[in-house]
Amino acid sequence: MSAVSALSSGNARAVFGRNLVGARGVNLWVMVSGFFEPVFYLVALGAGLGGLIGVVALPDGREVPYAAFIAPGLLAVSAMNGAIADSTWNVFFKMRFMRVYDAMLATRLGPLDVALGEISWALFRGAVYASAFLIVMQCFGLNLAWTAVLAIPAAVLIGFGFAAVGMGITSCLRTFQQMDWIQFALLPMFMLSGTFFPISLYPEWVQWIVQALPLWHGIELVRGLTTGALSWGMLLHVGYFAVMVVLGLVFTTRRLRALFLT
Amino acid sequence: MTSAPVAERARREAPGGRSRRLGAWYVLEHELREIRSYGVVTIAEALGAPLIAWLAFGLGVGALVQAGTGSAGIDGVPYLAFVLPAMMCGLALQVWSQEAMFGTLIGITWRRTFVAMRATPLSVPQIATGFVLSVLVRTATAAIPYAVVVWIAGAFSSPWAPASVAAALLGAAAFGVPLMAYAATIRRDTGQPAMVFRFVVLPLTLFSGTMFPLSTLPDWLEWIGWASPLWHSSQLARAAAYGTTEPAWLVLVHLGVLVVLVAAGWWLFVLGLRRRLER
Amino acid sequence: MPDTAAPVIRAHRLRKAYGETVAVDDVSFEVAPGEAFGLLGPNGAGKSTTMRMLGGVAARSGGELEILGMDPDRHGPEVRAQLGVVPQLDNLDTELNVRDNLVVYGRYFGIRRAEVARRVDALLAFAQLEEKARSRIDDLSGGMKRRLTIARALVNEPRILLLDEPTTGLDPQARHILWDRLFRLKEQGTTLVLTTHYMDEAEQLCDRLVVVDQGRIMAEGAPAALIREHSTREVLEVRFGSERNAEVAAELDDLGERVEALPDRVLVYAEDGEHVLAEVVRRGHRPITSLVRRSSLEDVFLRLTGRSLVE
Repeated sequence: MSAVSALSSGNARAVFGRNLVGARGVNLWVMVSGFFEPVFYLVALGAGLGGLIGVVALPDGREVPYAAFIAPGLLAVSAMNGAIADSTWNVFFKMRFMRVYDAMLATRLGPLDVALGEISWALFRGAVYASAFLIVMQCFGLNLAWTAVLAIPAAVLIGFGFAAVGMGITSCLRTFQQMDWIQFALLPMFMLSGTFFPISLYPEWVQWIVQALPLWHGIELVRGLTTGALSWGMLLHVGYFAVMVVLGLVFTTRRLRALFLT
Repeated sequence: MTSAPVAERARREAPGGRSRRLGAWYVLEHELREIRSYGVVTIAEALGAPLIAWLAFGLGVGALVQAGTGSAGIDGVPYLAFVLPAMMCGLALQVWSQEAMFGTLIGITWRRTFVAMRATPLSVPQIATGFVLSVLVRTATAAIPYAVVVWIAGAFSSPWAPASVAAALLGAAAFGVPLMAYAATIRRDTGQPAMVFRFVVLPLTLFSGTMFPLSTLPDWLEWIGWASPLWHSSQLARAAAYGTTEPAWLVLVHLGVLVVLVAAGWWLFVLGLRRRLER
Repeated sequence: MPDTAAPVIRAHRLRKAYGETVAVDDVSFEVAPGEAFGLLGPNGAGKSTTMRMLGGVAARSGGELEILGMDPDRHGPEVRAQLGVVPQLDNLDTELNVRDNLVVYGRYFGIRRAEVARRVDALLAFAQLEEKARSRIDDLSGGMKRRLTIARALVNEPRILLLDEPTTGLDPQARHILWDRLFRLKEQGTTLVLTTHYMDEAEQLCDRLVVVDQGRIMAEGAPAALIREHSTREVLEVRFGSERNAEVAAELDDLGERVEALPDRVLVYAEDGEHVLAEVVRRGHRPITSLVRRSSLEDVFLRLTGRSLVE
């Protein structure tokens, strides 16, 4: 393969800057709405289901209100959803319809610049949403430990992992129908990865499957931080996402190169 | 003297004659052809959605609710039986909303298929009816497999249970047809579809008493349920699935609200299409 | 032509194959600095593929290629930094307004913000789009989009401007405005490399061109020289109706240097077209329409390949 110099001119920030300029033209409320999605879930399920359920036991034996149990899960899910939306649908449109990347790669930019620029944009938005959601949690009294602050970098890491892999997968897809499969794959992960109930309710073999999927690691990581139920096992979750980031970036860069610089 | 019958025959045999009678059917056929290209993923979603709802809410959340409320259950039935019929209504509403919003935008501005149809002998009410029917069929392809899974999950206990599918479709139409009328007014997409889904469809699905009884919500959120077609259709679906304790007049109110919304929506949709296609 | 300067582009036995299909086959040419160089040929002749290789976004399958002394396959970013690329299909960024398209594109080259701003004002003037600086891309006409794409390609002050089918799809008036802009660039000393399947465009803009067909170079030279070499001074075009063209053509075989029977018309190549027309009529043929004109690159292409340029 070729050296990094053929893949990058170290100018990913120009790609980030393009998105910043583009965001000016977008309806402000569309931007803001991304923040409200997890808040709606939190209010509806926290108040509605919380009234029926009461408290849930954490792995360390402490019992927390249902809303405090689902809030970190929703934070992790929204980090995933934001990263996926930015790195799949947005990238798909730019790639296949607007041909933004054709234009970028005709300049000095290399494919790694494009990948890093797009992903850092997704992460920037994700960090803003995560911070806002954490403030909402604080207002409802759902942050049970000071370590909750670390949920922001955790959300960014989760987003990074999903965005890097998501962009790689998107670069392989050609039609809207195929794009629908991404959404289809995400739904079970969202519902079954322990956002709404502890996965210990499942038979052991189902637990193993859930634990192999990335979202469970994200939820456990954030939940540990906001509830203060810390453990060394959380480093494993961090490691899982670090691997996703590296594999996703390598794959995406290769695909962009194959697509536009053949 | 022969001219009148000749003119009459010409009218009947002219290519436009058939489409004047069967127009809505041709529109339906066209739309279904487009849906077909999404075949496999549609089927996968139709079966996947209820299975996941069963596993996540019926079993997972259900176990937590059981621990919280004891053996009495909700509405006299286990949480599983309470939640699944209403989630079917929620899914139907989401599917219909997607098709309504994007189908209308495609028809009027993106691919201008409605504009092309209007250039044939088809009339605007026929285009509207054909489109609504095609979305009904599309939504049924999601709702019927859902009902089958709900039945396998053991959540149906009344012989009237199949009628819950009709309730889900009616509820979806009661929101989705007015949504078509709204989509027909969009001239330039500045993010309205995303706004509708995030600020209307999502809160509707969450606050309409689908996953918990409306009465558990604080008073200042309960009104959403009464205004929501989804709450009315969920209550109808529950009545069909296991028979509720609601009085008969309330069941009629649910039904009446939904029918009025569909009719008003269709009328506004035709008006909106007229404004866009017959300027 | 500044023959003394080293060529800015040197292609030697260039080849590009996609699997079994050979898009470009054994193509060699050189472009001198400041020259306007054209690739003339029908759709699918391999022009766009050649342009993509020149632009450093397609790796060649064989042969040698040097852009400004560098191999684009090994020094992609460095080569692209010196090029301006106008692709066949506009790929303007529809999420940005006219001015931001130029600014953002300039930033892709790593040019400082203040410097970009300065250049963008000049480029808007060059593209005659000052009034439209805040407009959305969707609100521009086809000609305006094309001018903006060209202005965008100039933001890095490139030494070579690559234009792929610059005026395809534009109305005649928009084409003339665009040609005028390209002439100005040429006067300023920018090297232009363009592909086209319009012979009038090639004749107007190019100092020198190669005629390409099916991935191969059929001829090379200045437009006037190519016409002199491969065609007569004048051409008579006569139509006898699609049924009879071929039949009549056979009877006119001795009238000019060469006779071509096309499906819709008969071409007779001769030094004096009017004279030939008089002879056709004297022989009792009654053409539905007749036209005498100067030979063009279209005729050169027809002569070299046996086919029409625009099909």
